[in-house]
Amino acid sequence: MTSINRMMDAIRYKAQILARTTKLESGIMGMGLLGFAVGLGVIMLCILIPALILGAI
Amino acid sequence: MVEKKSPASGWPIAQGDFHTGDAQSCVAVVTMGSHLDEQGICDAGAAIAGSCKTENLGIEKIIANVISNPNIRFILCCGTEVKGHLSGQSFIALHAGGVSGGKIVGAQGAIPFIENLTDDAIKRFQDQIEMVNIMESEDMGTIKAKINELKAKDPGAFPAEPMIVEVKEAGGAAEVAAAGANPQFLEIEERLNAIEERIEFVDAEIAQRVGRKVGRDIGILYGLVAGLIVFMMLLVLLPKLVGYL
Repeated sequence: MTSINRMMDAIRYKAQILARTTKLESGIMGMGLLGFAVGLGVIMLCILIPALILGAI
Repeated sequence: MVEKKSPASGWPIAQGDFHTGDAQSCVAVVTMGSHLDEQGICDAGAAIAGSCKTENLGIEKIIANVISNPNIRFILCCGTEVKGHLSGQSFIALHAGGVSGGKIVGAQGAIPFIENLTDDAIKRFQDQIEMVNIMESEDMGTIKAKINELKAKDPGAFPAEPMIVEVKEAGGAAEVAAAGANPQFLEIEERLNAIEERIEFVDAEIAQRVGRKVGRDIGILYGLVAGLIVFMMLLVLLPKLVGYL
């Protein structure tokens, strides 16, 4: 029984790590694209607004 | 008069929480989680009577004592079920379905694992014994009446010599005994498991939220870098393109 309990604990621990990693990755993947779009938008604004003000475009 | 045999020397061979009566009797009584007047039950004609709190070691001891006495042909299961362990249900399941991979087939108890009995011993138990189920009955009158009814149907001793098996209490059995010491232990364990599951769920949710924040921040960084690169390329390439056209 002791060996079975140890095995169960090891399996449970691995399952917890797997679940946590998967959740973390899904969070990164879900918000990564949105973050990229925001970053691109910010840089465009930072470049285009001064250019428009200066009359370069 | 039906044929009777001598039980194994020193019967009952496994020590436990039970009383013994006439070793020639065909009835053994298991009171499961109840503590009844076991001596009174033995005086009423049972060969052996006692409780069975656990669905592993307790059952093993009963079987060891039963198959070492070929005169016992009926086991009367009575008394209340042990919460969590379900020793009564596990015992009846063992007789009906035997053991597969060390686990009692169909048992719903917490730890229904048989470690000290061989397949031969379990087969012998199934062949020798007929289970009589009056679980949840604690009435002495009912139990005594059932004993008398079974004694009237005595088919005689099982046509085989007493089988002796050794029930070891060391190792895993100690753990089982610890679990069996308090019937509420399993209920507490179940609640702790439920709490643990919720903590794991919350932990995973927190990990996902952290992941979203990290993903958003990394995305913004990549977007800024990509935008800057595009701007720099336009800055360098646009005059050349205009000049070329």
